[in-house]
Amino acid sequence: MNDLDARLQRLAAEATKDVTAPDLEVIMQRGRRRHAVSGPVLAGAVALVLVLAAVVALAAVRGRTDRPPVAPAPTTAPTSTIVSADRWKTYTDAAHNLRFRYPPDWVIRRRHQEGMVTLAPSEQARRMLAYPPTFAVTVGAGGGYYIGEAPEPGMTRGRLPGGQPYLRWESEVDPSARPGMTASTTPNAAGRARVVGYSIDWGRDCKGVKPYRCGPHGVNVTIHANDTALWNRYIAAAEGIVHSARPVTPTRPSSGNRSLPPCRPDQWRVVWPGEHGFAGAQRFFLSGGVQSLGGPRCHLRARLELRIQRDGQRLPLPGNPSARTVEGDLPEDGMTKDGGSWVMRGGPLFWSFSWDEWCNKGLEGPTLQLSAPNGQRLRIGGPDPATNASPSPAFGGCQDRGQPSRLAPWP
Amino acid sequence: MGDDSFAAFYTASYQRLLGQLFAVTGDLAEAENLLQEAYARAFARWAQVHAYDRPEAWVRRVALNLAAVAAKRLRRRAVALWRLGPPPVVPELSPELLDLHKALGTLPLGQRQVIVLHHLVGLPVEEVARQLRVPAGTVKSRLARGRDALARVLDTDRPEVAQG
Repeated sequence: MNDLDARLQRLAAEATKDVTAPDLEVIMQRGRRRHAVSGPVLAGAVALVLVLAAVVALAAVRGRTDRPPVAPAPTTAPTSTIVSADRWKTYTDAAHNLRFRYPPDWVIRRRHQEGMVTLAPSEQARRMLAYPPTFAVTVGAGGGYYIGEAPEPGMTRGRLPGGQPYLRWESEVDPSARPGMTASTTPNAAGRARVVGYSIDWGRDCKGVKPYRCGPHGVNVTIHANDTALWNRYIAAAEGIVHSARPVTPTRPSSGNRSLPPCRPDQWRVVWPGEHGFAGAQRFFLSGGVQSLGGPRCHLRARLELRIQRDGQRLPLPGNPSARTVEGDLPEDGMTKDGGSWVMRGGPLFWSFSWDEWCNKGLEGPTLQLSAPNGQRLRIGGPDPATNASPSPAFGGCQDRGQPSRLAPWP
Repeated sequence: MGDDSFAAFYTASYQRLLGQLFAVTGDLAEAENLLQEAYARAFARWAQVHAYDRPEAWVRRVALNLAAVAAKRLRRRAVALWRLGPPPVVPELSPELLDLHKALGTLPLGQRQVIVLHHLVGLPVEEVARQLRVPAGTVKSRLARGRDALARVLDTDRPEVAQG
C-alpha cells in the first residue's frame, strides 16, 4: 500500500467516524415506494406524468400574470417523518460549538454565512435553499447575545432541555414576499407561510463567528413552513431539532463570573443611547446598557427600575414601576462609544422595557425615570400621546383602542 | 428473510461506502444522499442484487452513477449558481486530510472516481474500467493525470503506473 492509498483510507475513515447510518426503515420505505412504481405501473405513471405536465404547462401559460407562484400543498395524507429520536443523526460544528440531532431522512446543507446550516425533509430538499422554501429549518451559530434590540410580537421565553434560555416567536408572512419585507398580521389561513424564530442563549466562550469574540453568544433558529399542511406535517420534527441542540463543549454562563469582586458604585453608570424603539404602533420600547467607568475587573448584578410619571407623580397603570435585573462583567460587557455611537459589546447588561398602548387618553406628557442601585437617576422624555409623536424618531399611528396600557420589562 | 439479509448488508457496508462516496463527491451530505438512494434502489430489487457476487459493488456503482448525473446537472447550471450555491458539508478533518480533501476537489470527477476505486477501494485497473464502463487505457491515463495533480499539491511520492 503506497502513501496515497493510506491517506485515502484515513480520509474516508476520519470523515465518517461520527456518522451513524440512517434508520434502515427509512431506506426500506424508500425502496418499497420505488418498487411499487415498477413494471406496468411505471408505464402508467410515465403517461400520467406526461398528461400532468401538459396540464401544468397550459395552466402556467394561462395563469402567468394572475398571481405569484406558490408551492403546492401536499395532497397526500401526512406521513410520519418523526422516528424515535435515538435513531436521529447528529450534526456537529465544533468551530461554532454547536451540536444537534435531526431525523435520518432529512438533509442538511451548509450556507455561505459562517456557522449557518439549513435542514429540510428529503422530499422538500429541492427548495430548501430557495426563498421561500417549502419547509426548512435554518440554524445559525455564533451570533451575538441572544437578547437583541428588536422585539417581536408574541414572544415567549423558555429553556431547552440542556438548560439554555431561549426566546421564541411566531409570525405569518406572505409566501411571495422577499426577506426583509413587512410581515403580514392577517389571521393564518392555509395559504399563509408560518415562521418560527428562536434566539437561544449559548453562554460564554471564545468560539463563534469571526472575528472571534470571547463573550456571550447566541444561536438563532428559523423554521419556515410555506403553508399549514407543511407546518402540520413537519413542525414536531423541527421543534425536536431545536430542543436537541447543545454546545459541543460546555460554556460559561452569559451572566458572567460571579467570583469576580462586585463592582463598586463608582465603577459603572446606566446609559440610554438616546433612541426609542417601537414594536408596532402600540408598543413603545426603551432600551440601553451599562458603561464601565474604569477600575479593576468586576461583576455587576443590578436591579434597574423604570417609572413612568408626570409632574413627579407615578402614572397609575399596570406594571408601573417595572424592574429588571442585569448581570455581567465589567469592563467587557459594558457599552462603549465607537465612531460617536454607543456599541453594546457584551449583552447581559443590556436592559429593555416595553410600554404597551402608550398613547391612551390620560397618559399625556409623561417622563420616564430609570433608577439604578448606585444612586443614579436617568430622566428620559417619554413619547407624548398629545402630539402622537415621540422625541426620536417621530412616530405616528398610535391609537387609543380602549385596551389597558401596561409597562413591563422586556423580554 | 429478505429484510434481514438486507439489514445485515446495509449495516456492514454503509460506513465503508460512505467514506468512498465522500472521497468522490467531497461533500458528506451529498454522499449520504446519493448512498441512501442507491441503497433504496438495492432494496427495491434486493432478491436480484443479493444474488450478485458483490452487492456492495452494485450499490457503489449506482451511487457513483448518481454522482455523475448530479455533477452533470450542476454543470448545466449558470456559473453564478455555482458561486452562490451552498459550500459542501465537510466533517472535521486533520490539516493533512483536509489538504487531501481539497486536492481531490480540484480533480475532474472522472479522475476522482478512478483514484478512489483504485487506491481506496483497491480494485485493479480492469475492474475499475468495467465498473465505470470506460476502456482500461482511459482508466490508466486518468489515474496518471490524477496522481500527478495530487502529487503536485500534496507532494506525495508518485507510485508506479498501475498495471491491469
